[in-house]
Amino acid sequence: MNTNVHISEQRLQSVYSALCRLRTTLQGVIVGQATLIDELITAILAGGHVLIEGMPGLGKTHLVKGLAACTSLNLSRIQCTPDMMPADITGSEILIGDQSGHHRSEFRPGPIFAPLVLVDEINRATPKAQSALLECMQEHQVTLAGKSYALPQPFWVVATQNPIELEGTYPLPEAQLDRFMFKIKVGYPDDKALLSIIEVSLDNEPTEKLGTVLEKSLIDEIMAQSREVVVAEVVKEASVRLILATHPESGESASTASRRHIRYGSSPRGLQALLRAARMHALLQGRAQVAFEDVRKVALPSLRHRVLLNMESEMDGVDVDAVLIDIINQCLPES
Amino acid sequence: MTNPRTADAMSLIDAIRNRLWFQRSVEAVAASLRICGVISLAGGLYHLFIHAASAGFVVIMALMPIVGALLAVMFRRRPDLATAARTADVWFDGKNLMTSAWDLFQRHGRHSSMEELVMARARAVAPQWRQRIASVRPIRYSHPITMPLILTLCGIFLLQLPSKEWLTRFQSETNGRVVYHDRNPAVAHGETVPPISESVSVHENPETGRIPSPSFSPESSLDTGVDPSVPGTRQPGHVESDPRVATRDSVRQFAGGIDGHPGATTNKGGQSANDRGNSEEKGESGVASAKLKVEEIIIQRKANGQGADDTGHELAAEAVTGKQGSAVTTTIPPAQHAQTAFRGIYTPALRAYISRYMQELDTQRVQQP
Repeated sequence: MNTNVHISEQRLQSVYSALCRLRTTLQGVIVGQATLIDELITAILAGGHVLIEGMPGLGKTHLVKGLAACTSLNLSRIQCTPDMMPADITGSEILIGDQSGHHRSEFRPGPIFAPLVLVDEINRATPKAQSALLECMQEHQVTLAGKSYALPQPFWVVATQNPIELEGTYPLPEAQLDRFMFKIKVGYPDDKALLSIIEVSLDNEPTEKLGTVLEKSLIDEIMAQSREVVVAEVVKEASVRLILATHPESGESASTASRRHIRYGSSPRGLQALLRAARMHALLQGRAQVAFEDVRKVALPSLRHRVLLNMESEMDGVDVDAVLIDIINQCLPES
Repeated sequence: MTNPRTADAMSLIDAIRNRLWFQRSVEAVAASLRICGVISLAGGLYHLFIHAASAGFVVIMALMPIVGALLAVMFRRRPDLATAARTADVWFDGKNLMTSAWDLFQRHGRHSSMEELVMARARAVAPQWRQRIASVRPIRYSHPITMPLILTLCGIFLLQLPSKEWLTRFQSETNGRVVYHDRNPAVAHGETVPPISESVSVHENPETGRIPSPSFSPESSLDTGVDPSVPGTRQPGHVESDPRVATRDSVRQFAGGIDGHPGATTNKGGQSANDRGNSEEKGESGVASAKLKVEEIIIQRKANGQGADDTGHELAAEAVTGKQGSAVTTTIPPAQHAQTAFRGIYTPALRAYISRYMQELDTQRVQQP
């Protein structure tokens, strides 16, 4: 038994060190965005998709490129435009003639068939094109002409959107948003980070020099380990309380903030995402069990796109993050 | 629970449970001490500024929270093990290690490698944490005894000081009389109360015996009220055996009944003062008339050869039978039941006059052999 524990300890340590390497590498090229990097790694390795929202030029695309370089995974990029069709994402069947003069239809996979897909400016795609992503993100497959095609594993979608662009954009519907495990907001770097950005990336593209940090086998190992991280009953109960507190109609469980500001609370999928991400966050800290602080760390990116503010709060310009922080402080004990 | 693999961690959780129980008990007692101090101080302030308080009563009230806390400690159950495990994580920043391990200890069956790792880590840290239990303060704030002690001492000190009520009494005594300010608003407002000997003069009348001087003004005696410290006065429920005092009380009861206050047999100084406004409306002629009636009855009784004591009794009896619903049980001859002159004209001023007169009778009787 001690040998098994020893092996488990070694495996955990190796995973932890690999994650630390990945984090350090990405922080070396994407300067001043440590939180963004941590949240992206957490969501991706927990098996989720990520929606990154931020102003142009903050390094969103660079980060995804760097992640692809570090993980030696193929990166596929979809640049969304209003005239994009679903077939431009999923692929289509085309007629191919052979030498005998016969024609047959053949499926040509679209850019979605890649382990890591960067959907840039997703809110510029029409709802029709956006809906093409729904099945891919949830079922990890594409159905065309009655035939299903499995997507590669792992399959991660990292979408970006610009928060200030309104004209010619199509905000993602709630069903689409719910497919993303995290919605990460990219903040503006401070002066020291800006100075570092000048030094690192003034004359060259730092992501091009990145080597592989995580092999695919190690990625699989990390994802398997994250599924085994122990979640105590009290943590599960606190997470359930947190999700229920976002529902204004959930009676006594509803928090005061949710009653005042929220129209619709988080879905059960939000609870799953919360605990999966918390397990991955615990692994990032080298722990084999989830602590309250893990849930606290991942609660905001997990839930901010799953709750819908009511009309009055929208008109008053209430920040959904502030409402959620209130609820989190109420439901989760301080670490 | 006797699994040797979990013995260390379980021992730690059990130790923390005991420590937690001890901590909560200490906090309960400390809280009761604080309440005790507050009660002592409040009792002292009450004694000093509002009303004289018994030190024993204050001490008993202050000790009640401590007794309650000790009883609660005796009957309080120890916290459960899950709570103790959570507390261990909180105290030693365990990041839910002990809580998770406790969950796994309770779960039977095969554990995954990660679960085994969690339990192993919990077992590994258990001895270190156990050594650190003693360093956890049993109470979260410093000086838990000092502040309650200071408050209690302040309260005890205040209880030793003379109360405001006592000072008022002392001041009144130095003026020649003992007056309870709460029963006599006039004294409470600082007005001078003349002694009886100054406000009432008694002279010998060969025909009528001792009657009050016409110079005595019933209105001037209103402010004085009736004081229990004056000889002959008494408290409610007291049975007086002296016939002179009984006479005075009978008249006083009669006065209270006529005035619309049946059963007002004792000290009514404050009430008299309150009724003064009404009495003034009834007019001075009524007072004078009633006074004459009283003197007339006394003269008549004297002429019949009856003693002063009997005169007082009969006077009271006759006067009382003149009103309805009286509580006085003195046996009265039917022929003497026609005294109705006091109904409607009786005022607190007259009541005070009668009271003063009866007190003078008492005084004279005591002085005579």
